[in-house]
Amino acid sequence: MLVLTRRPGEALTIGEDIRIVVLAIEGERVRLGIEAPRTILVLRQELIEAIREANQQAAAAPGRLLEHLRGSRTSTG
Amino acid sequence: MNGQSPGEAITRMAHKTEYLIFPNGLIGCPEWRHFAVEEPEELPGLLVLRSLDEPGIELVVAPVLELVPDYLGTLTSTDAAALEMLGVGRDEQVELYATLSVHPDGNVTANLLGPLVLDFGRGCGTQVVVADSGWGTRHPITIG
Repeated sequence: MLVLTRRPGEALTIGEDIRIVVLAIEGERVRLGIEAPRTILVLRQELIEAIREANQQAAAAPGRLLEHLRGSRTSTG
Repeated sequence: MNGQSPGEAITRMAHKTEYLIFPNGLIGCPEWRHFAVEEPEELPGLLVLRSLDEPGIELVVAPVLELVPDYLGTLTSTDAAALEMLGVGRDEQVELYATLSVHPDGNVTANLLGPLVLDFGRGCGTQVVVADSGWGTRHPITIG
């Protein structure tokens, strides 16, 4: 892993079109500004993990799910 | 929806394509790219996306706006703009679906944090994350 030290207001670039700026350091939190093409998905790591888990859960038992839903109407709970 | 109910529109559009390609796969599951689109018996409005890449992988999906009619109205401007850019609410062939899951206790939930944007006109899909709008991956669905 490449490790860099940056101060607030300083930036780094990845490739030709991704730029990350350290906007501020507030206690234990670092505020980052990210400039990237819209085709690049930028997500917090924990969100990727949550979505991955949800996708795998959804794919785990489709037959059982259809049995639950069949003959029933769904509504929000 | 031009006066149609969401269910009528979805049923009509689902017949337009038999396959959907997710160019980038699903989030966290980049190998899930090609799906056959099937309509489960006795469950109008729902779709089953059957993976053509991994045998046994199937996703049951429901139209988000049938689960939460005001879903788009709950989104932050950033999340709403991202969906609009993909055609949601702008192109009648683009619809928003959520994957459903059944849990060991029998509860059924919908992933409203990471819905699927399905473009039936172009035959492609994208999973998005509405990161700032307060939705989760396990929104409870009650079966009545």
